[in-house]
Amino acid sequence: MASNPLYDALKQQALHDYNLVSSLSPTKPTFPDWVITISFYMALHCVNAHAAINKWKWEKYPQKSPFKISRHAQALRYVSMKLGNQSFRDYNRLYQECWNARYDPFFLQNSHCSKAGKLFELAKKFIEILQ
Amino acid sequence: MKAPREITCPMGKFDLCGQLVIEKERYARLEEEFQKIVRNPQGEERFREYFTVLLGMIEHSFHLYALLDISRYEFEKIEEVRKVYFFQRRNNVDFWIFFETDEWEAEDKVYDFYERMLSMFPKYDIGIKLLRLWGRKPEDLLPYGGVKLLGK
Repeated sequence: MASNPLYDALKQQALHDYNLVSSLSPTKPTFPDWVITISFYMALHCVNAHAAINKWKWEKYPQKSPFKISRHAQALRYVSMKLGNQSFRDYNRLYQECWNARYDPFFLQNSHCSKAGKLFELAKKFIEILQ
Repeated sequence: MKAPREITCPMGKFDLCGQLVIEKERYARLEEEFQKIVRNPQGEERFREYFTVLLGMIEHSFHLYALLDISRYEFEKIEEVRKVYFFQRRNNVDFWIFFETDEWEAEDKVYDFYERMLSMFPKYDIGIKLLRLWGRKPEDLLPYGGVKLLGK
């Protein structure tokens, strides 16, 4: 893949997030909500980077250039169109769990937090699309 | 039970591939009215604008009706879904889908349907939120303005 500055910056952000989650012991986390949240943003940066390197333009707004995904709905549509069904499921799951981790006060009290490690594994797959 | 290929609502028909289908007779009447108006030397431009807006509104209503109808049908099939609310503003439609607990297998069914929905309705920015009730009521979690689409 040819490189471009936006792609490089987004990839750096994704790797930065990856290092941060790794330091939080994602399989036995003290802060599972933050493991989930950062894992999602890691995936989001990867998807943005993928869109940037492929110079993808949102068809509704072709005048916008260079392309940058600015809404979650756009990112989800992009993943659905370009990265396939399994990635769509994984990305959606990360997005939903991140939202719940951030905004649902009952989230920490429930066993769902034990899934933080699995969610990090899902997020790591998005790093692979940048290789 | 198979999903219907075509949906009829009070304003006409709509096929499930996202295409507007105005019934032939209805369309012919509209076309006739339109021709009368545009042949009128006075104020035809104004009427032409109104007519274009009207057609846009009809098309939008059809799309939204179909989107909600198909969604209700699909969500009903997923046993674990307890309630569904939706929010709509212009072309943004958000579904809040309530589960009793966190079951990834059931959620996958929602994601698969969601993916199909995105390709069927490209004009809409469709969002979903999956929420766990954990003994709470949906009304305790909803922001203002949600409309119930489905409740079991």
